[in-house]
Amino acid sequence: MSNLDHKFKEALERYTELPSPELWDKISAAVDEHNNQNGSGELTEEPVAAPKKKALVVVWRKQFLAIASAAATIALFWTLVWEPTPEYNHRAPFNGAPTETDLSSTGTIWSPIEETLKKPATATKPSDTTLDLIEVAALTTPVKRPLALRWEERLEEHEIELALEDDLMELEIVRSEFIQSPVKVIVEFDPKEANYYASKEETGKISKIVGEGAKNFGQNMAKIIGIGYLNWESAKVSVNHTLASISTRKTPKNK
Amino acid sequence: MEHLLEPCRAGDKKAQHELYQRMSPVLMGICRRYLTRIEEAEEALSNAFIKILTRLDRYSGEGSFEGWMKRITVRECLTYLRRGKNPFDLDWEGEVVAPALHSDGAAHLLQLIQALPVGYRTVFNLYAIEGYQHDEIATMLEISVGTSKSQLSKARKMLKNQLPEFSAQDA
Repeated sequence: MSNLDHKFKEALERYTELPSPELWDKISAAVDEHNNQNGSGELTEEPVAAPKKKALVVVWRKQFLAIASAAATIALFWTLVWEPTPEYNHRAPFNGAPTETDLSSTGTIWSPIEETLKKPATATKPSDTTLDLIEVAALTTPVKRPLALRWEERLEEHEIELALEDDLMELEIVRSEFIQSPVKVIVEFDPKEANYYASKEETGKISKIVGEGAKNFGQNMAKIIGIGYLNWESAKVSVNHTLASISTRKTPKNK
Repeated sequence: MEHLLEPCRAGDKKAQHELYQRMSPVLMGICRRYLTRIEEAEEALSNAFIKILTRLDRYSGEGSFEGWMKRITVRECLTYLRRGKNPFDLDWEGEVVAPALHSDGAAHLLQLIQALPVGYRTVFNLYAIEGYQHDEIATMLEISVGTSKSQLSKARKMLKNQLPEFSAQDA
């Protein structure tokens, strides 16, 4: 560190400045809202329900029971009488075998995504506690839409919204169904490849390979969130940029 | 500070407010180094503090609690900068207009940093004050290591020109 750096660090590391007094109210309100949405906030008194609303609730429940009974009857009839044809089951879970439209095998470079997908799926719980180094995990088994909870834990709030709106899907599902419109994808890398890149000191290379790997999995790939050992926040940006350019060329939307 | 952690996690408003009162000036100081406009700095601070208070369960106890809060704040500042049209303005080739300085010490140096182009300022902050290495900065800002180094070098050069004791050394 140069003398200049030292001078600035000494002076500014502990530099303080008071924010405007009203800022706390804004923060406090936002925290309350967040806690209430997640059901972990302070206990507050339930507003007393007006009698009119109670009556409505009773009516609604009766209607609901009637509809539910009808639906159950139809479902029972359907199950007993109707037998689904193989064609009907067109959204069966991906079984791991390449399909005709699967482009993953046409790639010319080694892709860590492919390597990851070849491995047996293991589930790990993210523990992004220090925010310094993201804990990486192998791809898990395909999950049901909408967004899986363990993904939500890794996403920022605005991204959760985006993901829910845009139907975020796991890579394997994208691969198996060969989605024809832009999609968002999460890729999580195995620690092995993270260590590989770390040992090679090729921190920049991984995002390129992610991009190449993504291309191989489907030409409509629009976004990958998440990467191995890199800082979580910056990794997202890095990868998003890479795939944004791919998306511009490849997605039907942009043609 | 650590004693506030558990009550804050439990949603104790008083503890949360105390934490805010203790830490907001420090975190605002960070925001002001990255974002020159007070409104921008306050928005980043607000977002950072909301994250701090709603994600306390993610603080594992490794490293200091204050350090954890500072990292979140720096990250929020970078997120804010990324939203701009030309986030880190790395192609900037102009000249710094020296701020009118009437004070010395921290406020003086803060003014100098704030007068830097955003790319120079960000890299200088991350390297010289936060203590990140170039490869980490490159990853965080999605630039090459070489770019990070050159931005730092240019930032130092500009800062030296504004500080008589350092410009005299170079001369």
